[in-house]
Amino acid sequence: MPAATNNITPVADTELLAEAGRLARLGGWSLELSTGTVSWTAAARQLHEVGTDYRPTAASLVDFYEPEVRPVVEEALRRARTAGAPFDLELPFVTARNIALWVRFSGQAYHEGAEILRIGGFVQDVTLRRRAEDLLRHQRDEAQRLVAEHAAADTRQRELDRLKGEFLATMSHEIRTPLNSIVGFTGILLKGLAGPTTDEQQKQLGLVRDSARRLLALVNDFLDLSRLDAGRLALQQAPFDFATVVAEVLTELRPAAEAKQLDLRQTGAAAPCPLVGDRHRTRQILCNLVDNAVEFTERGEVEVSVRTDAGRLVVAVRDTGIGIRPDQLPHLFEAFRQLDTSAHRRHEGTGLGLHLSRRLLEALGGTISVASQPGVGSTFTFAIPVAPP
Amino acid sequence: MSACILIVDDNETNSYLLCFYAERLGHRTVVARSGPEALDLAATHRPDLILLDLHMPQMDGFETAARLRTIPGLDAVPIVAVTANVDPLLRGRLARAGFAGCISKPIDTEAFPSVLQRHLGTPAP
Repeated sequence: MPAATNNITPVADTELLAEAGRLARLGGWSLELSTGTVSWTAAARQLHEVGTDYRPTAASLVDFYEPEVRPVVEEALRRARTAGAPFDLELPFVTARNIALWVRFSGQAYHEGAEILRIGGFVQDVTLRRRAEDLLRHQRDEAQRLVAEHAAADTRQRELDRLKGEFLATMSHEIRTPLNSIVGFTGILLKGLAGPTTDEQQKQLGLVRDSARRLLALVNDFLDLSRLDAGRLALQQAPFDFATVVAEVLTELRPAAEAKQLDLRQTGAAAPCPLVGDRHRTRQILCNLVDNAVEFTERGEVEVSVRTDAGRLVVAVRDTGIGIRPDQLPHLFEAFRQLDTSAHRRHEGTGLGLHLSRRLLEALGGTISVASQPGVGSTFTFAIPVAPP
Repeated sequence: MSACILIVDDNETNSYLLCFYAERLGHRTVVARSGPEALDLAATHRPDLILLDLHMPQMDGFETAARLRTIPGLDAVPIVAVTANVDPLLRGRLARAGFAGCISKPIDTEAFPSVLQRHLGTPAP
């Protein structure tokens, strides 16, 4: 819009320069060597926070800097004055109103022939940039420290995991060896191979054997968990029929169900159910769920149902047991979370079974979920891929 | 049928258990406490079946089995592993190493007689 600008008086260069200096907090200075006169621009005065009546001297070029850096300033000024050496410093600075700043102080010599007439340059407030740099440096140092700390913690953790794995492997062997003989000899005594036993002795030996078996199961669960933690659980990928797994598990747990007069059954006919995966681990999961269902059901039934859905085998174990309170459901699959332990020690278990089942299912690419109503019963459902992807 | 069974186990309690049970079932037993001792006793006693612990110091079950096989006349004697190792991958390893079978610890007292019968009745060719 040329018409409009034509009416405006152009701003004088000196005025523009003064405004730029104020905005950039960049001032000029000079020292006449013959007279010792020091000149500051308006922006330099603003930076020093002195008024127009302030008369700067050669000492003013030094005294605004922090005492510990004054020798540096004095030396730079001396070398500029005597040898014409330029300087460019960044120094801590305190204004006349006692405000701490960082100031870039730059100077050079002005000659006439070989003679140095004056020295001069600029002063600039670089506090914001310094603060940003300090902050960045601090954050970088902090980041590096955290990375180093994390790496050290990682190394420590790996070492701890390794030691834990070794410890568990050794302990499980050391615990299993005596347990094996307890189970073995109680078995021999129970069969009457070492001589006849009374009914009471039979009953007590049976209790010894059951307890030893429980301990053995706990040790085995521990070992599996430590293998999972270490990523060392070897899984098989072989074809098998899941229907035979269901049949085996029901056969194995039928005596326990019958002892409580529970109806343990499978819904529908046991049609062949081909899978490719780890038979042993799949069986372990089902066995654990059915075992739990029998354990926590006082009357009624435990029912296993199997179907396939979108390339996944879906297995549900439903019971008419004590059920699980809603507030307990979120913790159900955590380690050592046998619920309601305070109320009664009727239900013995390691507290590891559901946790281990969930971890095994994760390793098998499967999932597990539970629906429950206290006093009515629970349904645990797990799903695994019919074949590896 | 009475047979001679060589029981190899460094754990005395365990070999006593296996011996006791095998003898109650009417068999004769010879006990070795280590792999090298098993090689000596196998050569002199000519067992019909060998129950071999896998976890032994110095010479483990796999090496002992391989060396037993080199004894003339013992190449056809079934060797059954006895182990507390529950790793399902072990079965395949045992089959490849020429074991006729595997008994897991703790010994299943119900199944033990039929396991012995199976391996004694149908010796490996």
